Parts: sequence; C-alpha cells; structure tokens
Amino acid sequence: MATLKEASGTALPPFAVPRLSRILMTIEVVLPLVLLILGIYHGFMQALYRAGIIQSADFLGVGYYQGLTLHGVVNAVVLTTFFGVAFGNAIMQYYLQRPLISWVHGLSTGLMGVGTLIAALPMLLGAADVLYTFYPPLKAHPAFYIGAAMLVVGSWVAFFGWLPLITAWRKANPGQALPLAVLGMLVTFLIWFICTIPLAIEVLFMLIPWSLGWVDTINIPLARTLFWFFGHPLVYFWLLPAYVVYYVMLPKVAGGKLYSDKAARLAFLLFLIFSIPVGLHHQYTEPGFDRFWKAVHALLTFAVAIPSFMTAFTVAASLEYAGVRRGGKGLFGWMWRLPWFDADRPLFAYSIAGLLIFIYGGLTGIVNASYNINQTIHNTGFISGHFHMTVGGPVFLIILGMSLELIRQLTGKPIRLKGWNIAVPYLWILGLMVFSTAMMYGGLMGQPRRTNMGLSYLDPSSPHFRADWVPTAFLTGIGATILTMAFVIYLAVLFSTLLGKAETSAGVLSFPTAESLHEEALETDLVARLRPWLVVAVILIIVSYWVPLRQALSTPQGAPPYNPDNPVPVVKVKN
Amino acid sequence: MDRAEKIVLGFSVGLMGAFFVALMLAARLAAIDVPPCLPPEIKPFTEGRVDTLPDGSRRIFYVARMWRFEPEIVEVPAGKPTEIFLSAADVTHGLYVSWTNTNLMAIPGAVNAYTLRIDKPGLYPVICHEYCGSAHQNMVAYIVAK
Repeated sequence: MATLKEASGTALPPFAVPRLSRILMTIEVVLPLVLLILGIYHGFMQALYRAGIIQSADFLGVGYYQGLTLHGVVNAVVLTTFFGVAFGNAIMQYYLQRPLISWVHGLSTGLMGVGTLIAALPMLLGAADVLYTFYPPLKAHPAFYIGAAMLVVGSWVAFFGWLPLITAWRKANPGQALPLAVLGMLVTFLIWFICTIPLAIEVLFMLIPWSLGWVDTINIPLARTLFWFFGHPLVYFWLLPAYVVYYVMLPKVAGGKLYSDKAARLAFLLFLIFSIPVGLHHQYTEPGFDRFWKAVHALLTFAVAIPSFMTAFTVAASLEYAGVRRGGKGLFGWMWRLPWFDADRPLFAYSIAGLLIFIYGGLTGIVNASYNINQTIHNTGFISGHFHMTVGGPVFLIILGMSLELIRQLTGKPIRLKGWNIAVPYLWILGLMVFSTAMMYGGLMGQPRRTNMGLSYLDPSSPHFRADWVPTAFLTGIGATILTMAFVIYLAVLFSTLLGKAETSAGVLSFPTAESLHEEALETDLVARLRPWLVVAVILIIVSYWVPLRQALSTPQGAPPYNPDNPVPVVKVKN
Repeated sequence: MDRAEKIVLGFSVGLMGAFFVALMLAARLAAIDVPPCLPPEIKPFTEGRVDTLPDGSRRIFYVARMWRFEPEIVEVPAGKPTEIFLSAADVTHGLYVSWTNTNLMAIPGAVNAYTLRIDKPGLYPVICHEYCGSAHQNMVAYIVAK
C-alpha cells in the first residue's frame, strides 16, 4: 500500500555526488551568478536612464537597449535555466538516491555553457540589441539565436538524463508515488520541454535561416504566436522550482509539516495542464486573432491562477502549524514565532520574503490577464512592475538562497557573513516594493516599458517632456538603488563563502524535507498518476491554439530583417 | 484534502469565475473590448491619412515606421467616436493614446483597429510603446481633441 507517509515522509540518507557531477553542478550554480553581476548592473543603469538621471543613448560604451538586452537575457533566461537544471540535478540525485549519468551530465552542462558564451558575444559587441523577446523583424546576429538554442537543448539533455533515474526508482519502489520534489521538478521540465518546441520551431526554422539571409522574409504574426506559446509557460518554468522549495523544504525549515501533500501534488498537476494554453493573453492588443480565442486564453489564464491560490493556502497553513508548534498563540501569534531572523536558516528568510512579494505579483498578474482591462496597461511600466514581483521576487530570491545552499553542500564550505546574508531578502522586499509600485503607478499614467525615457519623456528640454511622469520615474531609481545594494551584500556573502575553507566533506546532498500533516491514501488517486494529466494538457493546447495558429499562418505578406539602428531593411525584398 | 482546502479551492474557482463573467459583461454591455480580427480584404497600407465622415467624426489611418507615426498631428472632435486603423511599415511598433484605452500593437503583415472616444478636449500624446530600434523613445504623435 502506498501512503503519503511512505512517499514523502521517510527521511533519506545524505547522498554523495560523484566527483565529475559535483564539479559540473558547481559550475552550473556559480557561472550564472557571476554573469548576474552584468545583469544587475544593467538593470540599475536602466532605472537611471528612465529616471532621467542619465540623458544619453549609452553609458560607459554600452547602449541603453544593449544593456536592456543583457539584463533580460542574463537575469531571465541564463540564470533561471542554469538554476532550474542545477536544482533539478540535485533534487533527482538526492530524492531518487541515484547518481546522474555522467556523460549526459557533461554534454548538458557543456551545451549550456558554450551556448551562453556564443550568445553573449554578439550581445556584448552590440550586434544583438533585440531584447530578450527578440521580436522580428528586428534582427540579431545569427550567433545570438544559435547560442540561445544551444542553451535550451542543453537543458533538454539534462531532463532526458533524469528519465532513466525515475524509471529505475519506480521499478525499485513499485506502487509508490514519486517523491513530491521529484514530481515538482518533473512537471517543471515537462512544461519546459513542451513549450520550448514552438520556440525551437521559431528559432531553427524561421529566425536562423532569415538572419543568415537564406530566406528573405518571415511571417511575423506566426513568429510572435510561437514565441508566446513558449513565453508564458516559461514563467512557470521559473516559478515551479521555487514552489518545490515552498512545499517540500520551507515547512521543515520553519519547524513544521506540509499541511497536505495531496494538495501540493494537485497544484503541480494543475500547472501542467493550464500553464501552456494561455499565450494569447500577451497578444490581446494584436490584430489577426478572433476575440473569441483571446477570451478563451483569458479564461485558461484565470484557471492557472487557481493552483497558486491553493499554494498560498497550503504554504500559509503549513507555516501556521509550524508557528503554533513553536508556541504561537491566538489567531496571528504564530506569525511572530517563525524564524524570520534566524541566521542559521537563511532559506526561511529568502522563502518568506519571496512569498510576501508574490502576493502582489500574483494579484497584478490577474490584472494583466484580465482581457479588456489589459487595454489600460499593455506594454506600460505596469507590466515591468508586475513581473519584477514574480520573476524578480520569489523566483529570484529562491535562486539566490538555494544557490548558496547548493554551494554549501557541493563545496563543504559554510556560508560566511551569515547576518548580512539574511538582510538581503528583507532589503530586497523594501527595494522591490518601491521599484514596482513606482513602475506600476507610472504605467497607469501611460509610461511605456522598454524605453530610454531619459532621452525624451524625462528630458525637460525635449518637446516630448512629461512632467507628470517625473515623480514615479524618480522613485523607480530609488527602488533600483536599494535593490542593487541588496545584491552587492549578496555578492559579498557569495564570494566570502566561495573563498572560505571547506569544513565538511564536499558534494554531500541533503535537503530539509517536510512530512505531511494529513495522511492520505494515494494509490487509487488521480494525483498519483501523470499520464492522464499529460493527455489533458496536450488536448487543451491543441484546442486553444488550433485556430489562432491558422489565423497567424494566413498572414498575406512576410517581413525582411531590419537592424535596430536603420529603417532600411537588411535585404531587399524581391518581387 | 481536508474541508478547509476544499473551501479554498471552491472559493478560488468562484472568484476567478466571477471576475471572468464581469469582464465579458463589460465587453458586451459597455463595449470595452480588445481589438477585433479584421476581414482579410483589409490589407496593410503604407500611407497615413485622415478621413472626415459625414457626421464630422474622423477615421485615422496610422502608419507606424522607424521612428514616426503618419499622420503626426490629428484633430478630432471631442465626444465623438474616432475610428483608428493601424499598419506597420517596417518593424513591430505600439500605439498608445495617453489617458485612454486605445492601446494597440502595429504588426507587419496585419492591420489593427480600435475605436477611440475622447470626451475632454486637450492634447493627447500618442506613444510608441514597443521597442522598435535605437530612436524608439522619440516616436510620438499627437491627437488634439476639440
């Protein structure tokens, strides 16, 4: 009989990672954190341009839009993908108690690392100022697309390498439900694999041949639809590793239990079916799609909010249980008993700070998804304010906190500057609330996102100067300054840890794992199975995208490529 | 799952359902909607112009190109609907009429449309809100409502 106690409550012994995997995983964690210096620097610079403090097309040799591209690609693509793979590698090895297949691991890390370097070159040389969404017909150097494709394929290889481990575990543990953390990461990468297929089609069959000049024109609405087919599930690829930490580890770190293992499983499976057929909510203001299909995607986007509501409840209930166990009394007394400032449990501070930010991130996301309400905020600062409270909130803080924990386990070096370390997430809340509130308020007044406002709207000598935007733009700069200070403290913690001496043996994985509070039988339950949910996911994708893709395909004319600094196309269209 | 969890699940579904119904009612009854899908006969155009209709209202054909809108300044009667059609001549652009719900993407190969209604006379900046190259921040037109 498989009960949840057996499935997730059993304490596992520490797992010693083989040497090669240990080195590769350390690279997967440290490399993106080093690149992040570049990503955060350019985030800070953008806030200064937008506040009108820098009134120039470039600063220290890097253009505004070049810096914006670096900020988006490093923070939202490179960091998140490397972390997803590194965290998945750790979860699979520890919870399945099996080593990774070493050649697969080497191939995956190699593809991701080399791909990142290949894509970084044109960005650093200013030959790919296309932002991280790389909307055609603006064109980047082909190396940008090729490098990005290698990064994605490398993450696929890592995912394929986990499947034989899962199969072997299932054979050795017949009738048992997968460990919750393994299910969470499996769902994360199933979503990632499905949604990167349309991206691969866009990049391999449209953008690369077109950027190399092999074809003259490509279908722009089709490219955009394929991009957003990928672009929204992408945010769940960012978010779900954080949910694994919230469900599996946070209750234990807080001194309690997971309120319900079954609700956690159901939430992950609901993400599997609802996170992909929603991309048209990024295209509400675009021509060429029936309003009916935009409304269908709005409805499905509302459905994907439900597992997040469930998560809010389950995680809060787990924390309440922990607080009460630690002696909290009354309706709210449990809150003050939680280890907010325990320097030996930094994962609690990073997790709770992310959760608090995500309350606002999630609610503003519902605003964005709201069909006609989106007319007020589409492509304004409201959007950037929103997603800095999701990917820049729980996702980013879990990446920072868990990366330190992984470094500690992989190198055996204890975290240094412990007190400073737990200041990082709380300082981040402060900076982010100022930054995002100002961005969103400005957005409601019509401030565009992704715009070098210092050169026009925030320049008092420009005919386009907007005095009504000055206060919010200035506050954005204040918020970004606080955020940058928090990151500088993090870097001090990171490097003093890396340069410190090892005190325990390197490469021993062991994660805090919460037991389930309620014991529920799983064996006949739908949440113990994966295939029916996958089938529903595929059906929903086909139903929601069949007509929109046909409408995009019927576009009468394609577009030639353009360089971002020239209104004349790169190749002449032959007619 | 225990009772509290079932209540939360039911409440979440009900809340999102109520939101969705409210949005659809606003689209139907108050005619606040997203841009429509135009029939394929309406082909992309490369020259901007303004038509005056018999009742005095305007129909604007905007062309968005690197890095300006055509026409650049348009006068419209306040309180009357103004029909807007939008075409992109080169790359992707955006068109946002400040302080209104007119918020459109200009996509190469397709024509976008919206009905703008300004009640308060004044000067309304029309801003490109999609990155369209190095001079994107200078791409502004104006609507004068009288």
